[in-house]
Amino acid sequence: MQITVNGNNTGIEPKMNIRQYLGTRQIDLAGVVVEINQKIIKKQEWEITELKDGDIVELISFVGGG
Amino acid sequence: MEDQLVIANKKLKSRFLLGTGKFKHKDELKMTIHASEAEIVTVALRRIDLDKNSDNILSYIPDNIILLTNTSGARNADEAVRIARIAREAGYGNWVKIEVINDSKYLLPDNAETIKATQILAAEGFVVLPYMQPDLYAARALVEVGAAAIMPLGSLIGSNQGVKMETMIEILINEIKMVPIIVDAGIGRPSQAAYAMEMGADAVLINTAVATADNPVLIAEAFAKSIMAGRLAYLAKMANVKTEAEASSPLTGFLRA
Repeated sequence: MQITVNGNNTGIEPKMNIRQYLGTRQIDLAGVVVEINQKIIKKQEWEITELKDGDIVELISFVGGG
Repeated sequence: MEDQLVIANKKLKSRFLLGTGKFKHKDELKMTIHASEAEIVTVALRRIDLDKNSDNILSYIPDNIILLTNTSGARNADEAVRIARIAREAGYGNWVKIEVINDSKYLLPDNAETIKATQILAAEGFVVLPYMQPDLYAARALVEVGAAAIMPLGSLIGSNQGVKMETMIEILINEIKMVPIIVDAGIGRPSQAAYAMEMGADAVLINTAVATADNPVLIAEAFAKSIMAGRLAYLAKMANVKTEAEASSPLTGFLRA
């Protein structure tokens, strides 16, 4: 199954929820926000939100800025 | 003497807002924040770089600091609103610096789009601090739609030119009394920060001049002191400028007696 994460096409196992997917990546989850198809997915919904084929996922976090 | 800056009912001792961009070494950031005595620091939001295991900036910012997330990268009100909502979802408060920029050469903020974004976000309960070109009508409109402060640019972002927009900012300081005026962008030296504060600005926001100095920690301390000095001078109601000399020592002379 294919999804797009931060602009890159990625193959993932089917029936994976957001928390499981994030667990496969080396990401410090403090302050991370997940958008799927331009809709913010709240942290408490990560476990119950399954990724679907063709989903456009944005993983966003804080960086330095003025 | 009790002299506090109040933004959205939050009482602050420091009048120095610090930006966190462009720091060469992140471990220096923590010490710089400490030296600056800033209580508000700005941050931005970006896509996580999945190929690079980069440090999380939040681990360098003490917990008691207010995070002011900017909407940099937004080219219109809708994009700024989207970024602000993402920032709030991140769980570090609802303070947002609206920054809508459509011009890559001068990085000038678009006041009309900024007003639109401010209106939407203030209605959603955000504490909105809009970065703007100093224009009295735009500033009034921003206050009208719920801005918690007005942040006119001193000069172009990252230019270190100082308070080039002096006359226009003075008008804002004189006319906008409902919310603080924070001079944002272009302040390159402590003397320029002091000058902005002497003029009566309520606070200043500085990033480039701190982050790109050889010693960010030391310059942060210098800025903190200059901002304090400028503030005290403003409160002291400084003596007038005169065109002719006025002796400070008595000239009544025993020499001629």
